[in-house]
Amino acid sequence: MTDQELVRQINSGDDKAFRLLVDRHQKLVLHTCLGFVQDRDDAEDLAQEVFVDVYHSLPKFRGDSKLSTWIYRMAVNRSLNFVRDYKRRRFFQAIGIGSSDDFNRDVADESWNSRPDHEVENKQRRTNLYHAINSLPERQRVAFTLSKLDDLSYQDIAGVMGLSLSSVESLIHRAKLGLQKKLYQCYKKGS
Amino acid sequence: MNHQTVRNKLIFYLEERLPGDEQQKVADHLADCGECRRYFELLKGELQLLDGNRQQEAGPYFYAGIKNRIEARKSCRSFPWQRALQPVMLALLLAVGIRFGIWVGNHAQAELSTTEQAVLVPFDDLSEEPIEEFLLNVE
Ligand SMILES: [Zn+2]
Repeated sequence: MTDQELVRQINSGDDKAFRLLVDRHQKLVLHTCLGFVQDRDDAEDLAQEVFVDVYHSLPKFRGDSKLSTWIYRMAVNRSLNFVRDYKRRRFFQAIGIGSSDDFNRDVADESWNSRPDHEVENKQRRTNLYHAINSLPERQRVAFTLSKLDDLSYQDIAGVMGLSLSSVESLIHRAKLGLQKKLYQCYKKGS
Repeated sequence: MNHQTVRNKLIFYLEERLPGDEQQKVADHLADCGECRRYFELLKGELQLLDGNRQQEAGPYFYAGIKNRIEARKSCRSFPWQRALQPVMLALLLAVGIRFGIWVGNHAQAELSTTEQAVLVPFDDLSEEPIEEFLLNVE
């Protein structure tokens, strides 16, 4: 079944067609969210929200771009919003305003007392990495994160981001240089 | 190649994207330099975490979760007045905040003038007893 047929069937209320769409694209959406969001459960929640957005926005899908490109774009937007909200929550926690739920969740997340050492170490490395990625300028971050996904060429990334191929290449190159620098600063602090 | 130059190329070295001779030069430097090698290992480990993301699969209740969320959003939409009320509440809260700010400001002003008076008292004493008289009394 082509994308256009699938969309038509979903819009006419066919649940099986929507399930098929989710099955086809769930990996790409989950992996996109995981590229931006450190916690796996958060990423899966976010991926589900992306499909809810897709479901409600499908009647507006014109078919100008590939369906997968359109879904990637939604996944990127959702992820960026999540990271912005997360940064805002952290800021309010830091100045002493914020819900205790958020606070407890973060503390629980960071303590990891009962986990083996290598898991704690992995968690720390993941924190460093995502901190570095999320401190890159937004367009560099998006281009770099998408470049780490399977089956997505630079040309596809250009399609998702609405940029030229050369802009994407330049963004990815600068992102790598920036990331390398940030991780080196992190390494120097730790050593 | 110095340490700094090597460190700026490591991410590309890892992806084997450097031109042939540079790839070899970085490899030679890493073989001799413990400091750069340690950082290289760290960088490699960090970036492998991203590769690990590609092995992740969605959980077994992924689709069921989506359907629940769709239903939840539908029921939310059946109360659109809640959405309409949100900006009104926000404006109200802002107005109360500004009023409170003005009240705190005025209150602080009143307290400040009392403090100023208290500080001025010794000067008033001084004006009642001119300095010449004071010196005469001392003698
Ligand atoms: Zn070196």
